[in-house]
Amino acid sequence: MAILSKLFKPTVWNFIALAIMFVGLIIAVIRFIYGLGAVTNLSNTYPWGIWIAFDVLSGVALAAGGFIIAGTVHIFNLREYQPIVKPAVLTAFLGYFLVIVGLIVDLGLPWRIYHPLIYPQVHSAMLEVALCVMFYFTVLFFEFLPNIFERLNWKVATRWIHMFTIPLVIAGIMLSCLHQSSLGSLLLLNKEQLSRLWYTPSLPFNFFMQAVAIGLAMVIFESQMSSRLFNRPPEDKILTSISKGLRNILFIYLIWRVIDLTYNGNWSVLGNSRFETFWFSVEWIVGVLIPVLLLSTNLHKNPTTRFWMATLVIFGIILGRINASLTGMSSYFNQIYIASWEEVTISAAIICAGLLLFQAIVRNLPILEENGDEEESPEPAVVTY
Amino acid sequence: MDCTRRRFIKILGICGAAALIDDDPLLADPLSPSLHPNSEFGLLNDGTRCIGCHSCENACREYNNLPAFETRPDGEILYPTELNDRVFTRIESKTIPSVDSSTGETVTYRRHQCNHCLHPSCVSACPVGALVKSPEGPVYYRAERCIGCRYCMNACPFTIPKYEWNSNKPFIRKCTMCSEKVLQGEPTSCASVCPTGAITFGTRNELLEEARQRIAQDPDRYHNHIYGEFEVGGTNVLYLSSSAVPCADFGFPMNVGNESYPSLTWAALSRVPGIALYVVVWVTFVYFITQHRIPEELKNRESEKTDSDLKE
Ligand code: SF4
Ligand code: SF4
Ligand code: SF4
Repeated sequence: MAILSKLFKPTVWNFIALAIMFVGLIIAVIRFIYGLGAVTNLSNTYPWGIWIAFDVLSGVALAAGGFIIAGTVHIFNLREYQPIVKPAVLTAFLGYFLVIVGLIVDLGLPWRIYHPLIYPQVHSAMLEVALCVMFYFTVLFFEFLPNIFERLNWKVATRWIHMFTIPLVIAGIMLSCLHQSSLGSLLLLNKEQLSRLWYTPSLPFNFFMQAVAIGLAMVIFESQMSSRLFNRPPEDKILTSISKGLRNILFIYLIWRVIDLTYNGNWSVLGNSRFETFWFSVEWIVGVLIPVLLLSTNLHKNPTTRFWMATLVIFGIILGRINASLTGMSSYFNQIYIASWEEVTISAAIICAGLLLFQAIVRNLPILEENGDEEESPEPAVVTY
Repeated sequence: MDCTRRRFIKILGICGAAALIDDDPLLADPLSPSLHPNSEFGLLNDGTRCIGCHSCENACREYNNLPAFETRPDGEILYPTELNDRVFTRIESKTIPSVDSSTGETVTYRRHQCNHCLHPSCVSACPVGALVKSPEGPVYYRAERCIGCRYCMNACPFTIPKYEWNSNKPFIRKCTMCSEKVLQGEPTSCASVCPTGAITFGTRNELLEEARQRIAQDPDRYHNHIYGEFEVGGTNVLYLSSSAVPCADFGFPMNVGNESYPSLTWAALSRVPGIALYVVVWVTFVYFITQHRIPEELKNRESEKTDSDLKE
């Protein structure tokens, strides 16, 4: 118990999270004994479900904040963003860890997860995805390692690993660019199945832009959440400029997609299927248009609106990925996939694990330390949402 | 095509990854033109000759050790209505009003199976080369490599690969064109049992020739289209359909286009080494530029920071 209380506060939410993780664990055991069919609604028509659409496709995107902020600070030398580098890298590290957990549950033969390394087939987009997951996770691990060294007060190791910061950041940016876009390349083979509302030869680029947007939104979300959780002053100035960046990238994404849909003559399929059109509209109105409009006003300086706008962007882009990999195929297959409660529980358990790990790590490692000293902070430490 | 592939591997080699490339001839470029156009085997499924006797379904089941079909209590066999991990081929029937309208109705048939594409989407999708296209035609599966990502299922334009959903050690299952037999030049099990010659085994060129002849000899009977001649860049399994129920009416995917599927992702993937190199060079360049201006800037910022701190 003593160790547990060092890891996280015994709040109701944390106990609920633990409970969900426990149920998830039981479902995972059933899945490994009786097969995927026993707990999922996956079928020969929909071989991929929310474990891929949400945990992997969206999870990787949520981690994009790590390489963007690390690049901003270490490569572009914009030191004012320094305080959020460590939390962003931690979010990315945990994000990738959870993506791998999700993959292990989803893969039919997860104990062969290393096969892409020994039998690579270079024409496969999935190979690029697999290699990027492995390599970038390794890079993130090394970017995270200094926290442990600092905590243990290993001076030599700390100095030694800091020499590798820049190469690691560069490798991280390169792998992220490839990885984020390769998720879009995966869907290029669904030329026939996927509705033209989502299918376009520029899917890899679209996925990359989505990742930048959701990565920035996640930085805002995570930073304001942890200010609240750990009673720290919010990084208002930084977050205000990040939300400007978020608005800009969303705006570019919006214009790009309009051009893309027009150029390929794909607006005509709007309305072909009511189900697809509905979810397409939700994705765009809630996830892009409203945030772009509101973030363009002075409201982006207001922490509460900023937080909710970031949440909408996160929602919209996750929905976009679910649409592009599941919803968008419903009219072709004339069949809808709806996740089973077991699938949802496993995904929820994975998120809960992420939240708990985040708390435990922030409480025990010097992640938020450069956040300005608490005593000096003149602002009230409580933000209301 | 071949030149871009070679360039790709060269760039990979520069990146020090050449040792990782599997030199397996079976992984030969799925984009390159068909390897052995004259000796590649295939099947010609003639829907107008099929009488729906289900012999091919039974032969396939026996040859591949698949479980028996379900039977009704009165002993009637319930033939499969979908392909799955226990069914690699099936006959679909369609009842239409008879042409001469005197006899009422006629039944037409279509066979479902893997099309053994010349440029198989599934092979290009598999990250570990578990699915391969052999030079003799069959697209078959090396189970020992599969990781179970199911991308092949997602990628196949004909939704052919199926999964063993209820196994804790699941594999992909699909028609293999009886690869063990075909690699020795023997006809497939289904072709050798068909009583009416609705399934013809032969090299792809022979089959195309044969199909054209059949259409030419009886243009009223046949719909003038050989499905698989050009679709998705060509397939080794070809289909003829009757003029009464052309392939479009029988649910053959008509929008797949004539472009090979692997080229869709290759358009993006072939750029990967270039993009990687570009990003690294560009980022490093930016790094050195911005480093150059730190000392002063950092000082400014530092003083700004203390200034603002003091103000607060
Ligand atoms: S039909 Fe599908 S499974 Fe068969 S070879 Fe073509 S892509 Fe592969
Ligand atoms: S499920 Fe197996 S055969 Fe299919 S793409 Fe994945 S690794 Fe390859
Ligand atoms: S070729 Fe072999 S595996 Fe394929 S349908 Fe015929 S009998 Fe079955």
